[in-house]
Amino acid sequence: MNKRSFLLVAVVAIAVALVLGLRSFSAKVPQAEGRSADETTTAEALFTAFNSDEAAANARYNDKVVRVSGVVRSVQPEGDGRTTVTLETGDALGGVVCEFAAGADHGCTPGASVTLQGFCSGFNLDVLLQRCSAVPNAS
Amino acid sequence: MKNILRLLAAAILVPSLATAQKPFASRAGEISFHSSTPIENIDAVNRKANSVFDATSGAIEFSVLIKGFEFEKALMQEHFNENYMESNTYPRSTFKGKMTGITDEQMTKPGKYEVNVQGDLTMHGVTKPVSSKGIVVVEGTTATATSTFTVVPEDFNIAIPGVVRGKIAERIEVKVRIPYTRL
Repeated sequence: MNKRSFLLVAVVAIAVALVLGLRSFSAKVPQAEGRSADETTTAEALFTAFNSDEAAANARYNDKVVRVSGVVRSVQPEGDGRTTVTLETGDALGGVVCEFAAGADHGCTPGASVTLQGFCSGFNLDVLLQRCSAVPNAS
Repeated sequence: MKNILRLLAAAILVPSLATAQKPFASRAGEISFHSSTPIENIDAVNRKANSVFDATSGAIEFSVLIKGFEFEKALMQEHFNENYMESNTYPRSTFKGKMTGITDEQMTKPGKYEVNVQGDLTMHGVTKPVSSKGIVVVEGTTATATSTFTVVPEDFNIAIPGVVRGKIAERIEVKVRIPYTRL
């Protein structure tokens, strides 16, 4: 490779690195919609996992896309267009809380059996899933 | 968090408690912070803070998941959790203290009340005393408490590398907004 070709390759490589770096720097926080689930479970099992051994559950579920099935306890519209769907866990105090962005179609009504997925953020009386989406036709 | 659980359990499971003695609670508290420098502004919000306020004693507690803070950029959220707050090791931030300046009766009486909040903030494994003024606005069955205070990351052993120190404000503004309803 002569000097000119080497310089050309170097310039192209630097340009590609800059573009990739800029994309990485500007990337938005990912949503769960359209992603395959890292973990699949029920709302009751997920809550029990955190309630009985939070450290182990954190290691297993946090920052992962968790697909959870369960019965809707409540659907709470928030002031800014977001919606919070809480799934039954069998516990009087705690639930699995799923946050939906403004405009997202959660398709949930109280009492319905649903399958949702979101990024797990941990346990604070409830198990929190964020950036959630509904999983249609899940069995 | 265990104290919040005990307060909630007592209020729910002991029906003999008079209505006026039941604490106020929220599971939709909003905690946001803002860092402003000439190089960059950083904003994040958490809309799932839990809090309990016993207006009879003035005792107030709140608890918030660190991983629940949402940023616009993925890289900022990643650095916040992995490098600064180490949220895998310290998953929650808590506050335990007292809110004075409002009575139990006032918490259900429409109006605007000036309050003082004082207590211990625990973050990144470090506990420091904080105090601030706040406002409680009562409308209908909801009493919304708001307050603003500042924190210095280094006070909580949050190490910020020199190469990015200029991108993060020395004092971070924290805003709290918690809508309470009677349990």
